[in-house]
Amino acid sequence: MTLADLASRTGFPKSSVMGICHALTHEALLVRGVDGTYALGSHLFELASAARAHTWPIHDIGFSYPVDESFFLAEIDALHTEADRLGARLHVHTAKESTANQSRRILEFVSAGVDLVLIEPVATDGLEEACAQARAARIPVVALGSAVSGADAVVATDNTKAGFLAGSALATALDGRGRVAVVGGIPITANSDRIAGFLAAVAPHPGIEVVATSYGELDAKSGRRAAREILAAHATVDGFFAANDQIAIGISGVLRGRKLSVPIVGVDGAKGAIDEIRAGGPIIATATQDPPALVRTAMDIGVALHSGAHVARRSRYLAPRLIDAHNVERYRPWG
Amino acid sequence: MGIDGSRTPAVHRGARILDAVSSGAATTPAALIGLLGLPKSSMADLLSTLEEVGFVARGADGDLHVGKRWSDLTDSNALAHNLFRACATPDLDGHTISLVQLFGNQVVFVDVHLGRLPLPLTPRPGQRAPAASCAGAAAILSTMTPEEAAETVSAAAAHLGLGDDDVQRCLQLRHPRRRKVYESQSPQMGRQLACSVPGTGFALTLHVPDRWPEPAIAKASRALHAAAHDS
Repeated sequence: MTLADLASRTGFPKSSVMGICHALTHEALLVRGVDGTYALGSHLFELASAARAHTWPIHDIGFSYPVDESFFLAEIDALHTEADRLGARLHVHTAKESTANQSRRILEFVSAGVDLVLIEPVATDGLEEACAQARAARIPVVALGSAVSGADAVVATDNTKAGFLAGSALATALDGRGRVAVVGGIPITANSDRIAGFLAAVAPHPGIEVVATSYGELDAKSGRRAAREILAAHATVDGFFAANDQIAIGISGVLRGRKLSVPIVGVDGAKGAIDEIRAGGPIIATATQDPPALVRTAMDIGVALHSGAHVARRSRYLAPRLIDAHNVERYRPWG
Repeated sequence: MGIDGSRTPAVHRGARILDAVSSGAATTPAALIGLLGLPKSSMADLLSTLEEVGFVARGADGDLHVGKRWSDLTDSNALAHNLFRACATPDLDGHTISLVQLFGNQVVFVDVHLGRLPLPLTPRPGQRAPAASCAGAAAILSTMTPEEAAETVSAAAAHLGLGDDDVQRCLQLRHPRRRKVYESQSPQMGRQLACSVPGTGFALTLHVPDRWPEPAIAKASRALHAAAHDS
């Protein structure tokens, strides 16, 4: 296109067009040919590429989660909000606590050509092949809540800190002395981190002895089972640490049924646990998670990875808060 | 000539803003003011204009990014996204793939999807290369009739200062019989496989790494052809 063409098209004086074209050529946004015509310059293509990468649209998001428990349902609510914001479709699937189901569903997401996969894992290991398939298809996989072997990124609560906060609360409640039981959760890093944090918190208290370790799952029923087994094996238990609030609620049911006044601490900040803290126990404290914040952060990373952008921090751990009788009235649970 | 000595300082200032935003060096007005040292009112005016014409946009978080208008200028039918997504297959995993168009006797890299595998030369968006060293040129020209091919190459001849011989040499890259995949090998651009994207004037190019096994290249070649035709 010539200067005369440009002046005619824009309605600007030819001298102005010449000045602008000279500047745009200097910036490599235009390139001047030997005949004085102009074409698009190399820098313009670079900017176009950057724009394309940023506006890489997300049409479909796949989310696989372990089971229909309140925490995951809160995450799904937050995901719907995020998907609506992006104008994307959200496809959710419960793995029914089966790693095989979860792996299969991720592969189905890949086959369906979703743009982004988020996983609340049933287990840390066992999804490597599915994640590799997603990577081959250039579909980012973001682990939510706990790390996953093979995922591109992880967004979780700082679970070690959560366990530490809960452990500190129990140590204070027991005045540094007592026989305590630990009830872990499903085999994900989040739960092992919480237990590690709890043990680190009680370690400076030689009067506190961990007399039993058991494992629950994601529901109150598993907490009731663990509590019954522990109380059958140990006549005296002075306190419980539960890896999640559903387990804590299950333990609480058993203790109340037996009219035992034994403090329980957990992790999640779930409504059921908060109600008990307000009522005076047996659950006395819980370290919070924030499902909407976890989802927002995971989506930010997922969208960036999808666009091909460099993500400097692919592991994000959000800080928990301890909720106990002192601050429970100011806390609004997510569940 | 510095920005202040230019007859059109706003163009240069706008370009500095775009550089800062596209590189991520500054993505808020305050950061841009800190980086570029422009008065707040000037920055507000420039950003307002750039946003108005779609050269800069704001994300949901308020951060600035390069606007969609730029991609419209180079790919008005928004083909690049679908084509690169269609290349997201296991057989093309890790490969660098470019979308190219012909400009006279040159190939222009419209956009590049960078892979993980090392290449002797990594193409960049906006880069130009001799058509003879790029498989994409043969792929594009071979989908055209001789008349269309001559018209396409000649369209930029005056701009590039091409003589008849240059045009004819470029047209010789056209294969009379169409192939699925076209191949080139040159010291300048390395080994390439390319497929034309029907009805677009674009070609998808696979940049083949050194010492890549032939069976893998054959699979990648089939996947590239499918991507160019299925997107």
